[in-house]
Amino acid sequence: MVIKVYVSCCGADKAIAAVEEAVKQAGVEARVETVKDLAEMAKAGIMSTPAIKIDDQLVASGRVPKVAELVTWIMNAASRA
Amino acid sequence: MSVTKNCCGDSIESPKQRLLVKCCPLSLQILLGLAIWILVYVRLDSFARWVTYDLLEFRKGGHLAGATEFFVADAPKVLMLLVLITFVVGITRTFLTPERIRTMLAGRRGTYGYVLAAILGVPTPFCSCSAIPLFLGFLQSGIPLGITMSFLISCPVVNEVALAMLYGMYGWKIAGLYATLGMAKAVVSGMLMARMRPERFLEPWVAQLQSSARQASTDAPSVDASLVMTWSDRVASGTTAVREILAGTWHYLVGGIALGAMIYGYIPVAFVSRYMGKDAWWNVPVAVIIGLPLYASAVGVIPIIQAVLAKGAALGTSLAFMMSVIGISVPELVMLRRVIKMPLIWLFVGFVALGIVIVGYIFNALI
Repeated sequence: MVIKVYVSCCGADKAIAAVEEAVKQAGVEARVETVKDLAEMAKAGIMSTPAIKIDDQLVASGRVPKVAELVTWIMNAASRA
Repeated sequence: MSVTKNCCGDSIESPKQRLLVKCCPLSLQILLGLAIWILVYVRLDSFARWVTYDLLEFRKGGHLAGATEFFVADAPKVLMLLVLITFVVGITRTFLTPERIRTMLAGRRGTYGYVLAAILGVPTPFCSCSAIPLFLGFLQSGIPLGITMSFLISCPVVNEVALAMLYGMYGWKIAGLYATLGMAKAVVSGMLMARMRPERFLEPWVAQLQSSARQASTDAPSVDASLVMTWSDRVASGTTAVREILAGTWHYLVGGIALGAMIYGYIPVAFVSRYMGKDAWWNVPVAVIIGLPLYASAVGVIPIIQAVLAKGAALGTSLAFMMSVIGISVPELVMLRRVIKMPLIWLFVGFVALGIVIVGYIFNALI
């Protein structure tokens, strides 16, 4: 599973920390990637940061989700895979 | 643990806050809050008189009496309006996500597109971090640069804080005029900028993004069902918006009210009306030039503006100063520089400044 965290300036640390914590809690094998490049962000269709994609599915945009929410999304993605 | 947030207003809710929200039905909480709000708002004036003349026993017409009455009545009144408006706007924002705005604007051409962009720009947050991805997202889905600029200009120019102040002090007609003028200005600026071939001022990689846009416009990311918000989520973001504007800026608030009360109590009317009154025709552009590089939170600027207004400053001049202080900030321009070249940034600042000056003169002429 690949989790991409798109960040521009603010909320970056919190978003990354929340994702890493959620991965740990979910106990799933996942690679967490941080995307800071604006061009790549635009190509991915991200319009507000921080945004999170799990396996190319956009799950959160413009906010830092709660760890519990993230765990649910990660589990769902894991069961789909 | 309390609620933490960053400069974009993103929040991480702690378990404790969830408990608070669950104590009674959401609709009841909102009704209760609104009832308390109205009760306090209606009583503010008499409360202020009671504090000033009965509790503190100040002489009527004295310096201290004026300052105290201002401190406990006028300033809280506008701040309360600000809280209410921020709450409503916070909820509105959950419906107007950037993705949705882009869908609404995509494919629009001509005047209608500009007007829609200006209207949508009003409740949209425009902070340095949200501006860039939004800007790129618009261009990428083929929204013309002129319309994008209308949107970007209307964000800082029509300001919900100024709306709260005008409504509280002058009623809905003046507030409505302000909103209409601001949006008209955003529409006209966007149209004029579109004529100046602004595409040449995009950074090359952004221009490339724009030219490859049209075919890519349909593959916006599919959104997971869990992104859909419930009403309690929406209300939560309304309260977050309020908390953000108050909690993060309380030092501005205290400083602003103190300074405002001092101006109100001690600076003579003759001085204020001479330099900030209607007769000094030059003061609108000067107010904008001084205000643009300054940045302060709106909650701090309001009490100061109220105080100078009460001392005979012209409304247009005061508004122009306030709009230029809270409208544009340097960090935001630095961020914009990553995607557009300096000439377009100057154009943007120039149009915002010119628009504020015009709005200032119109208000001075009317009131």
